[in-house]
Amino acid sequence: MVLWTYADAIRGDSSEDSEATSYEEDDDADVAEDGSPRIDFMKRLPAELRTLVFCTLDFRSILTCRRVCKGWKEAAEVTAVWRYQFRLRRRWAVKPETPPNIDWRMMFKTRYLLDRRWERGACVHAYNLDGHEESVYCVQFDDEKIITGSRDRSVRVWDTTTGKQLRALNAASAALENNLIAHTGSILCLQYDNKMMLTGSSDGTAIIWELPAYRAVRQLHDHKEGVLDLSFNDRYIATCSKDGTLVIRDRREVGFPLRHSVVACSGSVNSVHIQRSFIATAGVDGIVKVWNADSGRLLMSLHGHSRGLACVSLSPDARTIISGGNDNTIRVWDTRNQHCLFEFAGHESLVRTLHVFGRKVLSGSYDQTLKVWDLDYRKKVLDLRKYHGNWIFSAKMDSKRIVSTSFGAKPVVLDFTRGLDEDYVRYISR
Amino acid sequence: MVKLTSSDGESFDVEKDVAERSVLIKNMIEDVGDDSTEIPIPNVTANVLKKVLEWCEHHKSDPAPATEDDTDARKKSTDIDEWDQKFMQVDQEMLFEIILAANYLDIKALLEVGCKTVANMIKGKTPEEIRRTFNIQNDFTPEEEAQIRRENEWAEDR
Repeated sequence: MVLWTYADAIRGDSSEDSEATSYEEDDDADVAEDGSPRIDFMKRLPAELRTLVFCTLDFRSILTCRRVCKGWKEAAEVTAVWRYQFRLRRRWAVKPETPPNIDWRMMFKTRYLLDRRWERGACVHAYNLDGHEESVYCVQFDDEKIITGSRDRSVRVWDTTTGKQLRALNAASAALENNLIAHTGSILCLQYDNKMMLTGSSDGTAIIWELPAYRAVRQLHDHKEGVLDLSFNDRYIATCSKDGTLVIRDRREVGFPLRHSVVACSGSVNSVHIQRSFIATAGVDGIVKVWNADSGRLLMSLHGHSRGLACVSLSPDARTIISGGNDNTIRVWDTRNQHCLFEFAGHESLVRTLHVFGRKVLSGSYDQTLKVWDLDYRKKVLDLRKYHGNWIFSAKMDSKRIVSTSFGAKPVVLDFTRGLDEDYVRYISR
Repeated sequence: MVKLTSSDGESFDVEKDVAERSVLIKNMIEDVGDDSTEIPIPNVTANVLKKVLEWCEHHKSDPAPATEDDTDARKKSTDIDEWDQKFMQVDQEMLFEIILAANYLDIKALLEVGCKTVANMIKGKTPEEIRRTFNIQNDFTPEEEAQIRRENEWAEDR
C-alpha cells in the first residue's frame, strides 16, 4: 500500500518503534457501512502530525481522546501537546527554572485547578502571621518570604509556606549589630527586590537595606513629615509624604543622588507607584497625577474622584492606572488618552490599597473586604469578606496567594495552592 | 510552467507559482535552476497530487504566513474557510493522503487545514462516537475505562 511508504518515509528515524509494529497488525482496510474507507488517524499519522491535530483541539476534547482506545490514550498524553495547550493560555506562565522535560499534562492540570480555585474563592487555606505587636501597615511577598512593616516600628520577615517568623528588624536588632540606623516611628511602607529593600516611616525617613543580608545601610531624610508610600524600579526611587512632596532619586548611580523634589499635592500624598519612567501619585486633593521620572515634570492630572485618594497603581506596561479612595470607588484610567475607562464599584468604605497582578487588581478597603477585579472582563471576580474584622491597610497578590494586613497585629495569608501537587505548583509563576 | 511527475508516472504541467506553494518543489526548482526539467514527486500518487494541485491553484495568491504568532492563532481555531471545507469533503483515505502529501511537499497551510478537518471530526464527540467515526475498537477493560474517566474528572467541574 502506498500509505505505508508514505508514513514510513515521513516518520524517518523517529524512535516510535513499538507503534510501528502495531501499524502492520492492523493493515486491513477498514470500511464503514456506507462503503467509505475509515482511517484511524491517530494510529496511522506520524507522531508530529498527530501532535498537530491535537494542537488544534481544545483540552477537553484531548481528554476525551484518552478514552477512545489505548493508542489514542498514549497519543493524547504526549507532553508536547500539553505544553502547547499550556502556552496557548496567555495569562499562564512558568518560572525560567522549570525543567524542560516536566510532565506538561500535570503542569496544565495543576495550573487549571489553581484557576478554578481563584474563580470560586474555594479551597483557600487561611492562616495568620503571628509576631507583630501592633497594626501592620505594609506587606510584600514572594514564594519564599513575606515581609511586613508595623506600627510596632519593626519589619518582620516570614517563611511564606510555614508562616514562621524568620527575622525581626527593629531598634533592638540594629543595636545588636551596632547599627545606628533604625526607624523611630511606624513602618508605613516597604518594597524589596533581590538586592535592596526600602522602608518608609512616620519618622519622616526612608531606610535602604541590603538584601539578602537585611542590613540597613542608609537613611534618607528627604521629607519633613511621614513617608507615606514609596516605589522603586531598577532606575528610580520615588517616595511621597504627608508634607505634600514627591521625591525622585536615581537608582542607577552610586549613592542614589536626589534628582527631583516636587510638590505633588496641597496636602498629603498618600500613594506613589512607578512603572518604567512613569510615576503615579494620589493625594488628598482627589487628583491622580502622573510624572515623568526623568524630568520630574507633571505629565497629566486625572480628575474624576469626588474625594481624597488613598492608593494608586500602574499596570506593568504603564498604560493603565488604577486609583481608589474615600469615594469608595476604584477608577481605571487610560494613560494614553487620559480618560477614565471604567469604574469598579462595590466597596462600601474607603478603598485603602490596590495591587495589580497581571490583568487582575486586588483591592482592600475599610469595609473589611478584599476584592479581586479583572481588567479585561471589567468586573469583580472574587469577593473575600470573612478574613478581616477591621480596616484593611495593605494587600498583595500573585497567582498563588493573597497576603493582607489590617488594623490588628496579625496579617492574613490566603493560600490557594494548598493540596495541589507541590511538584508542579513550585514552577508556576503566573 | 513546470512538469511534475507523480509516483505512478503521471505528468502534470503546472504554473510555477502554483507549484511553488510547495516549499519542497520551490527548493527543487531553485536547486535545478531550470524550469523545463521534470520534477519527480516519488511519494505522491496521481489522484492525490491532482487534488493537492487543485488546492494550490485556488490558493496561489495567498500571502505568505507572517509570524510565528500568526501561525499559532490560526492553529488555535478550528475554523476553516468555506472553499477549503468543500475541498476537504473527501473520504477519510483521501483526507489522510492529502495530509501526508501536504507534509511531504511542505505546504503548511494545507497541512493545517487537513489537521483541522480531522480535529473537527473529533470535537464535541463522545469516545463511542469517535470510535464509530474512525472505526476503532475499544481495547480497554471496563476497569481501565472507569480509571481513565476518574483521571479526567478534574476538567469536568467547570
